[in-house]
Amino acid sequence: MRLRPIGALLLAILIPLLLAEQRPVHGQGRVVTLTPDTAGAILDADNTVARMLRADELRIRTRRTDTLVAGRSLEWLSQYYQGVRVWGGEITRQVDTAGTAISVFGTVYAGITIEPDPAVTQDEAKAIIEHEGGAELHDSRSPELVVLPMDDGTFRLTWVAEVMSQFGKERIFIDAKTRQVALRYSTLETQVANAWVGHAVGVLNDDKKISTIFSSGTYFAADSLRPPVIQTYDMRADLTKAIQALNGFKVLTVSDIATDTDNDWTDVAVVDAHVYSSYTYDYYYKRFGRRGLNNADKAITNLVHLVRRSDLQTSSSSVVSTFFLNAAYVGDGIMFYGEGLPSNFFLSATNQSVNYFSGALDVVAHELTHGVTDYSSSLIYQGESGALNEAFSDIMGTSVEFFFQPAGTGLMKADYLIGEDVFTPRTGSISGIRSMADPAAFGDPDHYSKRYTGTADNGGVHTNSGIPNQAFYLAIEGGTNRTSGIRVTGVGGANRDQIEKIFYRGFVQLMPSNATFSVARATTLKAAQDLYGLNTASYNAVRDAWTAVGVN
Amino acid sequence: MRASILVLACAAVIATATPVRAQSSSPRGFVSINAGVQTSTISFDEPTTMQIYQETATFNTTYKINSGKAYDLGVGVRIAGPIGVGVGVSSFTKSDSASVTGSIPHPFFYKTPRTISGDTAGLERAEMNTHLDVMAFIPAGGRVTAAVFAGPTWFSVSQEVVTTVSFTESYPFDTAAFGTAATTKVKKTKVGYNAGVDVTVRLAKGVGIGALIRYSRTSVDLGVANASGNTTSDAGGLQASGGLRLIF
Repeated sequence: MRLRPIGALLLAILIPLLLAEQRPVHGQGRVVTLTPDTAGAILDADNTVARMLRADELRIRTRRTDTLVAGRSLEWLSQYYQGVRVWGGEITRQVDTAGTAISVFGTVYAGITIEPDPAVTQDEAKAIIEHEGGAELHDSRSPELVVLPMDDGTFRLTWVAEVMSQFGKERIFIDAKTRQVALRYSTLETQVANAWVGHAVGVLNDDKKISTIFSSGTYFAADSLRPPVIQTYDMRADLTKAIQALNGFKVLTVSDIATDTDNDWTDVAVVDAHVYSSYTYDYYYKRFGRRGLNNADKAITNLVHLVRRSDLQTSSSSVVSTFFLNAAYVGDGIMFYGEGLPSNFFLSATNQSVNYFSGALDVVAHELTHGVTDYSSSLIYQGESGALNEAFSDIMGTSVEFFFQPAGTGLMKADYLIGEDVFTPRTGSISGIRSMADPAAFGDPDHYSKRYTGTADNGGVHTNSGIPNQAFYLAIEGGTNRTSGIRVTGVGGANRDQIEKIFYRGFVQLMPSNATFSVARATTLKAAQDLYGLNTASYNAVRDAWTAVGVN
Repeated sequence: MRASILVLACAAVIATATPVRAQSSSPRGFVSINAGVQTSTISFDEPTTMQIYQETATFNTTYKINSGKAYDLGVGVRIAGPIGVGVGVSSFTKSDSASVTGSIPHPFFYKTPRTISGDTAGLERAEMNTHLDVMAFIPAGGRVTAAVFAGPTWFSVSQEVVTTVSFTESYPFDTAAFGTAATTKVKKTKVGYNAGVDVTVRLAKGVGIGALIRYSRTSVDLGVANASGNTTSDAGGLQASGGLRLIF
């Protein structure tokens, strides 16, 4: 208690200094990371947040009622500099009914001194981004003016937009002074009443029920039994149309929805995209009380058959890698699922066959979880925050598997492999594309000391996800991290829901968009404390798991 | 109310009756009017199935017909020595509830049924049974005559049965609740048997009181349209009644 006034005094002095210092040096500034872990420090941080709100340096982006802890509300606040959003400057705050802050996490940027008036107009920036991205943008997707923090500590005033092309989906930042590309990276969040219930056969020849709509003598892949609109579109190998739709130019119509004449569905790619996206909605609802991607029953749109397997050998390598050999969440509740390879083709590197991507429950749940992330923490798809984004999708994808499938090995069994129902070995080699139990089995790091530090893959988002993935695995199953040799006592499979809720809360409700692994440790531990208390088995399991993977 | 009137009438007859000389032989015959109770409890099941959500939903309605008021009207005539014939008509009406249980498929998953249960009240059961009997008149001394009888019975059974069960459910559909049950009346006839004894006490010339115990029984397949199996119900039972006797 005696420290609080001193801490407040220090912050009152330091934060303004941090936020204002180094003004003259080309807009160079500093990153201020907030991870207070004592009541006094949280109060101090909250006072800083309040001051920044009053100064219009922070604006509340989203405020929601906490669905896991009664009496709490959760806020996401974005940093602004003279009315321009600061990219990645974000704070999450949970408050109780009295308005007292319970936790504050985030990063804000200090020392921004750039001139906020762009020399490049929005229309000019849009044209540049369209040129760079190789596709037109609808007016509804025009660029946003943002302050972009650069790796060298400087700031640039930029226009940013996402563009989807046959080469993938990119976020492109255009310098609003110089017209130059300031930054670009892939945002393809990928994996390598007339209600009727029909019978369907999935990719793995399994029987399942499918919720459809019957109209004018035809059954449509549109679910009307669940709260959100869930529709599955058959693009009939019209990639151009699909890309236009993904960029907002082409509005998909009822005639694009997959159909069946007798409600006995045999298009296995359609079936599993439709059914597994519905299962994922069910999981989030039943486990966390979450209503879909945006917690407000945002429509879920699945696109399948963007290409035809028989066109594999005449397709460009970019089309093959994106639309045959990938699945993605492309924003606005839209997913597409790769077509896989013809049965007589195998990946040369792994000797694996590749089936329809919608055929794996963890793959579908992984992609929808990117949507959940987009509508909550908005983890930036680059560097450690990008790896956390990927890891959370793996974590939830695996959790959905365990929710609906029996534990075990092999097809349609819940395990800690990712994509094992799609990527199956011809002989000998391992199924899937990643392992949470043993990330090294696919060449991914299982410890922070082994993290990838290069620039490929947006800074190794699919590689470094192995570290938080391993932490999640150890927190449940326990065991010894191969690199650190630290042994963790997990909560056991029977209590996996505790760890799932902790990670959900930590990633969805408490995490800022630019979180590092260290912030993820802090938010998940706070979540464990909120849900189960300090020094409980689940709290200790999460703490020890992060320690075991070298994240402190 | 009618039974009360009959009892009062019998009591009045008893109170005002004048003792008469005992007859040394059985009367030629009698007409009996009785009110009483059917003591037997009947229960039977009505299993039904229907296709819901690509699977078979099963329902079972268990009917339990408890004891209730019964009425009996009969004629017995001695035709040769102590042997005679008789004709009787008995009726039994009762409204009871039935319990409904069901197993309803989940709309999203195979082999994940939800169970429901509930009661539906006011299901009427009515029997109008006609008995044709051979009778043996046995003088029991004084003014008392017993008639033992047995013979076939034509049962006419009317039963209000459940035809459709409705249930309520909502997302995520992991539970369902019993809603209402639609019902209809089915009527069936069947031949069975009956046996019993009638004891008459003559109070005055041509008038007496008596007690009747009759056991009748058959099994009736109610033939419910949606039933997945036999909907067989016992009919009849043990009736004990008493009332007026007109002796000739």
